[in-house]
Amino acid sequence: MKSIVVYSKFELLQAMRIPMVYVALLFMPSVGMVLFVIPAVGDDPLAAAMATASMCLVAVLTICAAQYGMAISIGRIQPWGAYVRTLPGGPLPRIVSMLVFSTVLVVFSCVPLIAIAGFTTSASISVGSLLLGFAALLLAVVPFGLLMTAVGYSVSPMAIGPLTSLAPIVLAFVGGFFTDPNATGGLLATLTQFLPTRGPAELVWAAVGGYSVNLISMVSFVVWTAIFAAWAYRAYRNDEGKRFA
Amino acid sequence: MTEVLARAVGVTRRYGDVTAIDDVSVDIPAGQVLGMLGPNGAGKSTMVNMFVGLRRPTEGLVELFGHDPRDVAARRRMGVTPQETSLPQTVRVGEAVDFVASHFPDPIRKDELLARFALTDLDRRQTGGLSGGQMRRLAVALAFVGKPDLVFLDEPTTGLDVEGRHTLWDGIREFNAEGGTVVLTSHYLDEVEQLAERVVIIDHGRVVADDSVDALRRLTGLQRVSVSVPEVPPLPGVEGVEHIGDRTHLVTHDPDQLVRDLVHSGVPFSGLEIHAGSLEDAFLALTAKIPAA
Repeated sequence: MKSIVVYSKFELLQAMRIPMVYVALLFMPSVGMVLFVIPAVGDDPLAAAMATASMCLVAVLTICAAQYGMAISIGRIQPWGAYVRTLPGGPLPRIVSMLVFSTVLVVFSCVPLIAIAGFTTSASISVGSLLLGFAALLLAVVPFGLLMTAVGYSVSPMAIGPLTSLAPIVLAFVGGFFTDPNATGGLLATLTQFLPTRGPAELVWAAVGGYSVNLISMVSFVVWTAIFAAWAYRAYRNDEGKRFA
Repeated sequence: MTEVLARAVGVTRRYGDVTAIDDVSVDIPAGQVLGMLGPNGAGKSTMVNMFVGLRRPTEGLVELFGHDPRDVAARRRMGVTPQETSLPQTVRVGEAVDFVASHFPDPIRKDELLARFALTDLDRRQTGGLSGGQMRRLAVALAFVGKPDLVFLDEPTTGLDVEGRHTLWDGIREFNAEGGTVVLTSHYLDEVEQLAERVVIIDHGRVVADDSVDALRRLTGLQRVSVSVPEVPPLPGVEGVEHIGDRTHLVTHDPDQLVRDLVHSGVPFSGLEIHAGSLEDAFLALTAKIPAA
């Protein structure tokens, strides 16, 4: 327990050194909201709620990319990161503290989105659904966090910048976050159930707007999470810090 | 039979085309202070990195307390000071110690550790506000937080002034007196001579010598002839040549013959001195940095 507190304090202190990433991720989804969501679906309460939920998901993806992908990757090339790797103890305190930090970030970035939706659109939501929605968002952190952890430990730290910028967009797109969740036609709609991003998204939509969850997506969710977990563990064990040709 | 705490058996480490470590075998017995010497790029840091689990050998086996160096059980009994340690700037010295201590089941008391490394006044200082020497002392202190049985110190006194170095040497001696084992990498030959009982000299990834300090001095039987001379004539029997300022130092087994040859060569010289060989001379000869004239 004590080590978790100590690690959390350290996470916070280290995060303060890459502040621009976090500032960007707090603003981006809000801008997206204002530019795309409100004009398009502002009048339809259900659609607006669903679209807000989608933007929150994009925010979660961006947070995971920044926190797990970027921060881990940068940590690998810093001497302090190398030193911490020599210390005993499994990754558990570190993982828990990172999840705590993720939770804080998710809440911080989604509250403005929800506020914007609440004030400018006709969307409405019960407190219970809101809390369920947040729970589902936090659940979404698990597979994406694991994925970006695996990427952070596997990919060369030099390549991580573009990757963490692109990954959230690509993942959001193939998850169908930018389109109507209920659209069933077309190649994307068919493929998306098998892709990792769809499962948690559907849970959020279910909490917010009564979307009915697809079984295949749920199975994919579990399978992909297991795959990412295994990959993340292997990548962590095999990590040897920066490598130059 | 002293317990072997860590060992490398037939270890090779390659980075692409470069072979950093080539078939090295080293045992580290309990209670010893082992000095690892070598020119830059010899592979000392790579060896240390493999012992602490930061790198894996390409071939061969590295064991730490009988385990893979990446295992928790092994790491609990070990401490490291890498060559570069930069702590997060906003963290205070005391917080850094607490952070490292939280990893160990029975860490040393913070005030005791800070006192041993003369850091007591800096407890509340942020690491960004430390001088280079203070930072280095902290980095070495962190290696001892978990009451380890074995510490790896990679160039611990680089960048320290004389007083800082002596403080650290005392800390290391105290640790060894209490039964701790130390593996020390250094450029400073006087440091190794002062602290180490046994020296392993690594050059181009290979072990060139592995013996006690005394044996190395005696074994090589070298003596140093120092002279001021405009140019060094061809002289047989010279094992190594070093130029420092306007002095030339010739390392040889037979200084008397060397002086005769020097006189016969007719080259004008002055300030002739003959010294007993030191570890430095052994090192120079064994790594043959400058070929004999």
